[in-house]
Amino acid sequence: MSAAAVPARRPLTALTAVPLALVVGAGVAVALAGAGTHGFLVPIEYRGVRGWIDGPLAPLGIAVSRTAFAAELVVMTAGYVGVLALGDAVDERLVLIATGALHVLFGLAPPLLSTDVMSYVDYARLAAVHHLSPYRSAPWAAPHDVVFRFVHWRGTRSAYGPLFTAATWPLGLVSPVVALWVLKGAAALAGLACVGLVWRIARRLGRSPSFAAAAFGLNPVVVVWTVGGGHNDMLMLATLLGGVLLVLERRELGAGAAVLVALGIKATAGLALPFALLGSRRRGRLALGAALGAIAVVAVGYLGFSDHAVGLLDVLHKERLLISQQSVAHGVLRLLGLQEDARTRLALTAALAGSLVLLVLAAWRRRIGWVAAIGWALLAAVVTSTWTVPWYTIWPLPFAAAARDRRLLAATLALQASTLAYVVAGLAGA
Amino acid sequence: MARIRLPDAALALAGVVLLAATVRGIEAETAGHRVHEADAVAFLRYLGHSGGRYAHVYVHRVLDMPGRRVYRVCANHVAPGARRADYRVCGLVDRTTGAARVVAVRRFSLKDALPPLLGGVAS
Repeated sequence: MSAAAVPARRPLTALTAVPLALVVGAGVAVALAGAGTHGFLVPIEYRGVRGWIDGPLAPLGIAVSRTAFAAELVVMTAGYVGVLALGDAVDERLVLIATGALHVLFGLAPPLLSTDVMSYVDYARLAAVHHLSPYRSAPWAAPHDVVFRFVHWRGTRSAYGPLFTAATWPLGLVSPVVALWVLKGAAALAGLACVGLVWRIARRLGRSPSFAAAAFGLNPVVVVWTVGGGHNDMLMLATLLGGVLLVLERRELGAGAAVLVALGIKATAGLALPFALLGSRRRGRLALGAALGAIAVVAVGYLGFSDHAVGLLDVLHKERLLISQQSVAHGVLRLLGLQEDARTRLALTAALAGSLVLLVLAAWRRRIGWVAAIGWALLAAVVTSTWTVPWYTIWPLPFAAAARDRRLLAATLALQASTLAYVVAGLAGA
Repeated sequence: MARIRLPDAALALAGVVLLAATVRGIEAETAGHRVHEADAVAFLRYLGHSGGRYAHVYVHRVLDMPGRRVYRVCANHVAPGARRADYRVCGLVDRTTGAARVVAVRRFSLKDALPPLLGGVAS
């Protein structure tokens, strides 16, 4: 019987290999382009090209034009769509090898398409070197600092949770070189952890783990922007997914704590809490775990930054006032001939609140799975904000992939396609 | 005949809105690039050519108030024979009347902007 199964598998493996080869091949080209192209691909280097920013891939770097980079992205995306089209036929081993290779590669690439990782280093140095709270002082408070010139958001105080700020504090005591590459490595490891967790959650939910791992781990926005950029969204997602897995494994105390720890990294994760409560069998224990987690977050915030960490709420409010061209909310307002003002912002906030209420009701009545509901809630948060950057669009993705909610996956990928269309049009037209 | 489900129809409608918003947004961006190019030219014309050249000219819109459109334009100045920029100028271009008009220019030295400790980590 087993002899009959082998020939049936071979064509599928060969079929899987083609789109996977496209994703990996184009991914390698993008990473090497990042290592060889200063400026638009590594925006930190707008203010000075440095060998320590270029990183270990620098000797292999290939300088490319904006159009060539846009073409590489399109090929990578086409390969990714091809992998998704294969559905359950994707070969497990090949998916894991490709995912691992891309995460390592983009972990070693210079910080791509964002300067945020230098903001993390600057906030750590504000706290550790200059004895300033990053919740009260922006990078402008220490303009003589060695990393200041590489920071873009110079007038913005930290928008990150107290656990992330406290955990990165020691990075202010080491050289910026070490700090940068520790953060890049952490993003890559957290990305791999997310892939492993998505795999296990999908298996628990009775979905295809290899499809789920491929849908998240090979996604171009995940690897190029989020791992490549060294964003802390990966740390938040890994912790949140850990909490989801713990709920499924009926370890509610740890699950509640994990969700709150994720919130302590990035506040967005807090949206998952009501759905985790609905999904757990022992809600009291989950609530207790969340309460213990909340105590830990508040304690770290207070001990580390006194009451300054409350200033985070003000920064998050101001961030929602920002406008990016890629934002769906901004695009829809523009389509309707409206502008961002108090009324339209109130309408957007009401739309988010209404969506969350409807999702809680739907999850409560079991019309929608609670894991998918987390993804929908995160998608609603992105869509109703006038400030969207590419790496925000990955928030719903692991939940869409693990729960294999085809509508959520379609909506998330449509959002990413819109974002990538702006990027590609901007690169081709610049 | 297959029935169309309400959630799928809603998702399809949202997709159409997203597509329309994206196409409209990219059109606006492209038009913005053209405006930016005109502003960059006007800015460089205003700066004149007192020797050397201007490199790395970039423009981004900073104000879009009703009835008033002001853009920020920056350029690095490279002295004759030099390979690296010696100073950077930034200015505000007001396009309210349709014709670009430079309303303010700030000039600051790239050398002065270098943090004193940078040599410690720069390769």
